[in-house]
Amino acid sequence: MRILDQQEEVRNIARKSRVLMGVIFVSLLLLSVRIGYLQLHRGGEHLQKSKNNYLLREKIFPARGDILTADGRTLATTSAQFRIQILPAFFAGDEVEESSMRLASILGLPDRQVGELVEFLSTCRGRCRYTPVTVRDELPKNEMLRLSSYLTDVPGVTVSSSYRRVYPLGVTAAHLTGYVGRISRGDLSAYPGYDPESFVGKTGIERSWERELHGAYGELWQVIDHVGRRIEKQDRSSGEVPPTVPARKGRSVQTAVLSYLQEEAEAALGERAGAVVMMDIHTGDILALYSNPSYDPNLLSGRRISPSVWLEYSESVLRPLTNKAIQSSFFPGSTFKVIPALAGLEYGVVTPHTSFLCTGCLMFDAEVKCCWNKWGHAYTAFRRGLKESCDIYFYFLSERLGHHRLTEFSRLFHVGRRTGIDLAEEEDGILPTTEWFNHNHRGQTLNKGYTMNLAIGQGDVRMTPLQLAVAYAAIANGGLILRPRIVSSLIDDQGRREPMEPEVLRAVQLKEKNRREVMNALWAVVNEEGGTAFRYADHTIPAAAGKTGTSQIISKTERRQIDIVDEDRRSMTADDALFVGMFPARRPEVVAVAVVESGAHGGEAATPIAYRLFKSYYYRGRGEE
Amino acid sequence: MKGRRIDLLMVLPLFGILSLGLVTLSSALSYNPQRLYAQLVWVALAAAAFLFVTYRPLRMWENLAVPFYLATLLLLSLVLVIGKKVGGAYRWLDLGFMNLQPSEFAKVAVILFLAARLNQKPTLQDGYKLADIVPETVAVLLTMTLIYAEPDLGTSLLIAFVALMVILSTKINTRHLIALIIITVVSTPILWKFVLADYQKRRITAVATMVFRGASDESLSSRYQTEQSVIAVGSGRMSGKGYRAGTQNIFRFIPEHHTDFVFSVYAEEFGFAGGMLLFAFYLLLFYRMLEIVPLVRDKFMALVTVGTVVVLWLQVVINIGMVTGMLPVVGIPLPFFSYGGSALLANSILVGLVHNFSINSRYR
Repeated sequence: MRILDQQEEVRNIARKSRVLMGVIFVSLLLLSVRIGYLQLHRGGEHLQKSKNNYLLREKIFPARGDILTADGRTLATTSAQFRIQILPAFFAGDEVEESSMRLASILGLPDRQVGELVEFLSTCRGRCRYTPVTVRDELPKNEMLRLSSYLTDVPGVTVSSSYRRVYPLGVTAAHLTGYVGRISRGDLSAYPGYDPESFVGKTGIERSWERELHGAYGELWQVIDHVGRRIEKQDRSSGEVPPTVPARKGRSVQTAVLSYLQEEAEAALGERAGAVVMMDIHTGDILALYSNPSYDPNLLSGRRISPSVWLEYSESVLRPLTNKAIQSSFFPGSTFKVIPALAGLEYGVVTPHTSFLCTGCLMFDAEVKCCWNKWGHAYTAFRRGLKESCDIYFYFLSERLGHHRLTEFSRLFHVGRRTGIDLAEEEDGILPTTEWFNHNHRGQTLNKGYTMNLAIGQGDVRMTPLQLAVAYAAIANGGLILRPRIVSSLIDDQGRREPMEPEVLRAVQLKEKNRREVMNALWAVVNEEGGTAFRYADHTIPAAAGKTGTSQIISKTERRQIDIVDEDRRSMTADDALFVGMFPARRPEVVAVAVVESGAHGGEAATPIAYRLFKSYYYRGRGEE
Repeated sequence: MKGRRIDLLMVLPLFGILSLGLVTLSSALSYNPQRLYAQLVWVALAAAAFLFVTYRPLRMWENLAVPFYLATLLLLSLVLVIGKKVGGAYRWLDLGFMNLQPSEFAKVAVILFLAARLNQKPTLQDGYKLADIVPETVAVLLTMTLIYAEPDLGTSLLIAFVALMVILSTKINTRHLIALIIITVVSTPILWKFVLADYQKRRITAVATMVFRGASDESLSSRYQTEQSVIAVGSGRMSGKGYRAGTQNIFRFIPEHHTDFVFSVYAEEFGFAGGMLLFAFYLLLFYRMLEIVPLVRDKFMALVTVGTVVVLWLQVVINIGMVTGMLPVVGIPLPFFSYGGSALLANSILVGLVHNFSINSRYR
């Protein structure tokens, strides 16, 4: 066999090398396609991924808007406070236990927390080591300053600021302001965009005005390296960093509440459970709204709520967490009588001179119905019927009026329907219409006796104190049903004010003559000898007009049983005392409702409370303090 | 053009690649300029070696092939005994002032050895029988084994492939070639089962699954490395983020970003445009080298040229394939671009030889 010479050998190799060049070309082409795919086709996606690597967004929490009174007091505000955090990567190193003990002695941490910290730090690896851990929270500024002087030479400790909600009037305005708390899982879906660490209003203004008060989060972009270390600004040699957006404080809400009336309401109720509402009859502005007993919102708004405090508030039979002015409905009792009275005149079933004979008790269709005054009022016409609150008069009147007309007229005055006040969780109350009766008392027939009970505010009718205020305001202002409102304007962080317009829910057409007749009778209640409130009114200030009410919350038969067997429940089941007044009677400006739970007699227990507010209002007006 | 002392079309792309590499390294090593200076020293050494090899008589290199091969074997053995351990493998010899990576020189040694031996072995018209090249095969296997023991599977396989290509570019008996292919196919599963270490299998399967299924639950660290590298390359887009402005690089999301993964830094900062420029340089360099094969006088030069092109080309393909997530993570640097002196020196010797052939064949 022939041996190839060098020339042939080289030619052979050269031939193959041309194939090799082709292969090389194709391989580099394929690599170019791959790179082009990564860089051009999916470049944007990879750019975003690279940003996700080195950019870390930190939320800046906004300060909550303030809640202010009309007379310049602050009901709720925020105070800057501080928290101390450690960064595990730079804290301690190997001597976890020793460093933790040292930190604990500076900060005064309990042993249990130190144990948890040591355990946490010794298991913290990777990214965990670059995530701050809060060790002390809610520190006031002076405390922070004192502690940070000791902390300067402890590595890995940082101090950052946060906010705490403060309610300067505390207990006094608790049912107005409500309180804030850590956002719950359920609330997170109700408030999209909220941080899981944020606080939201749980009740009161805090809740109903949450969206205005909350403010907008800011953002701060941190540049981090591959192990999560923060890169300081001077080292940022590259990388596009989005600008820092400062947090925007929430809008402040200005209420119409007058702090001295609010304080007067608290003082007037004293130890007694109940509620007081005072409202402007022309705008629906709430000037005071107080429910007793109250609670301290400062104790419920922190990061941690003391279990004993929570237990005390939630378990108390006097229900301090319930706003009795809007969340608790009462039998209106005799305060309800203005409605059948006015209805009687408006429908023409009685004239001011129509009189009925009250002999104490009467038989109606085989049912004995009695007046509160067992001696009877003799012949009673319209004015004395209201003034002395004669039940028998209203039995006769309701007989002529009929159930349907009475409930229709009541409906016009918003009985049994929430008023739409800007406070959370208002209750409806009950207006026992025919449909309501058929639904709730199946198999029974709606007889005259039922209507008669309704006419004197007993039976099934329930109203909140606020609904009474709205109904009386309508009588005082000529028929306008106003939506009561707490907040009269919003103020943004630049100080710009956005006023809220008063809202009229309905204008009830009333004959002026009839309205005057009612007003006149209500004046007599307070200002004439024999009126149910006469003896308890303060006659040193201009006259008010009003109506008392004493509502049985249990029947007389039940009462006798309880009196025998249960000493404790006797006081709890005493009659509720109510008074609704307009002031001044000549040209009313405000309406006040006072309800004293188990207050026994409306005139005696509730009238002086309303009068204290009238007096304060009279002497101090609405001027700034 | 007679008597010309330099082949510009070969030297210029080389210079281009080297410059781009140094620019990229100065960005990747911005936090550690000490290492950049070390690399500059290596570049100077490599340039000196290149010139030395270019202007020495040709025959000298053929004669030196066998001693050079034996010296390399000695160094490779020494690595296993007194080598410096970095990242779980013994690949370096610590010379006090520098670290030497003998496996890089083994590439040169094997190419020279094969070319010199085959040059002296006449070929029949049918080509070599397998029996004719047993000593060469044993020599290659010996080198591979020593490198594999470090362990460095990547370089070991690279040498095998280069040796195969050099041998195949001579004339081989067809029937014998078919037999060889059958043996290879049969031995692969055995190799997988008994020879490969677990971490090597994991890396290969990890990338295989990533390529074919787009995800992998194996080998977290090499997966992370590949992911970050792909993000770096992709985020460079058309024109790159700019010099020293690659966030994947600066904030060190890419491990080994100055050695095996340096291309990801380059692609991040200079984009697709930069990548294509680099590819153009490589293509020109390879083309210019292969162009001289028909012009050379003997088989030695032809085989050294082919071996050089194959070893450089393979490293480019494997390295960039690895950086772009198409191939498993193996320790193969990008020639004339990655940080590392031994590789630079070894590659410069090889290209210097081809440059020598070029000057002697083109311009004589």
